[in-house]
Amino acid sequence: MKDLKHYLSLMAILSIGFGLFWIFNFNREIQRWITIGLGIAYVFWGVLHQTLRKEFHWRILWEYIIVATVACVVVIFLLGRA
Amino acid sequence: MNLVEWGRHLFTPHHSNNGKARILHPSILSLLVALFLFSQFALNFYLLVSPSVLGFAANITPEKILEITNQKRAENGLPPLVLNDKLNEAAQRKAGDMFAFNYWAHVSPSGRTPWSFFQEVGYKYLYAGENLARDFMDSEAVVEAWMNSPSHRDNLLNPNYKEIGLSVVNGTLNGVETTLVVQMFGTPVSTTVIAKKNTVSPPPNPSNSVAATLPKPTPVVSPVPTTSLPTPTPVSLDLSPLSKVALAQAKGESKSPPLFSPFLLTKTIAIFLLGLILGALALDVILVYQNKIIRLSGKNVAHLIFIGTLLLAVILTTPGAVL
Repeated sequence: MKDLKHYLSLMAILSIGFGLFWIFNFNREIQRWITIGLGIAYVFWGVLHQTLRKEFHWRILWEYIIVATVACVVVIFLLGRA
Repeated sequence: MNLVEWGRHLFTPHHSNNGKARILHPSILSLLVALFLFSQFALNFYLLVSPSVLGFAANITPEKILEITNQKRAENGLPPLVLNDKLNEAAQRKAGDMFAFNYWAHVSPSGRTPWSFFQEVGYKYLYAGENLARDFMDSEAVVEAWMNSPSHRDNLLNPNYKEIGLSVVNGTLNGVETTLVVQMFGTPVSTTVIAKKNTVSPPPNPSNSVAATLPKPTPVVSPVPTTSLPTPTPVSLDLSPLSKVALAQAKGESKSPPLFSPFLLTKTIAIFLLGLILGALALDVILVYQNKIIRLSGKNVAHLIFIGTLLLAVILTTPGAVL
């Protein structure tokens, strides 16, 4: 149940981010910042979630950073080509 | 290690990969980022050495842009904009300048503002505005993108504007074949003075390209076409040699058919990469749950949701940008 709340909060963050991304369609500069914001928010969510579950470890932090980086770099470069 | 074992090691949690698909290890994810960046730098290099073989083909016409723009204005109870030769010329010069000096902005790197083009062609305005677009496939998509952007929409539906100038120009920007659309709005001083001779006119506002004027419902009046759209003839203006080259390019004088679009290539790589990670994450989630594997790791369900959201953003991204 505790995890469900965490995941709902994650989905809310991502939904807002995706909604903004859609609203600012074709405004590439704003979309880039939204993507960066989503990546940072995701890493924060990950740290908070793992800390609350008492499972935090620097390796896990690194994993969240890498996952966020992969996805954000791909989107940002695509926006650069659009 | 044979191919099956290698595949299992790469995509499924196994004792050989410490209970987690190898492709999901930070080291391999870092390698994937590096490979993606390498592909983008290689593409940039290719664009530099042979810019004419990559490209973009669009079906945008000034006639259609004008038609849809006036249609949108009519839907909002606004009178249609009338084409003006001087504004057409200003829009053409702006597009030529962007190609010549390789920039995509309202203000050029040397600080040249849109209003300087109005002045150059001798258009004295009371109100002026500029909308830019690039890399769209058709006229409808251009106007739709402007309508979806609050500041551009304000320009399109600004009741203060009476006249319009348009240019649709093909050329090479940053090594990529590009279609630029320049839309310039204006209200000449004389027209407004006559129309408002008994009212107090607002002061000139040359920086209202993003003016937030709400559309005011006024009766639609019949369009009075006083000018024609720019015809594809060489422009003999006092442009710099670079501008002339860009305008010559714009007229399609030195064209080779585009082979593929850098955008579509990047999108394909992006979908493949994120799809690969997403598939590996989904498989990992299922196998970890089935085999009750306990390990020190981030939450793959969260990764799945995050990567899935950004993959959706990638899929829905279409070429084109407005400014």
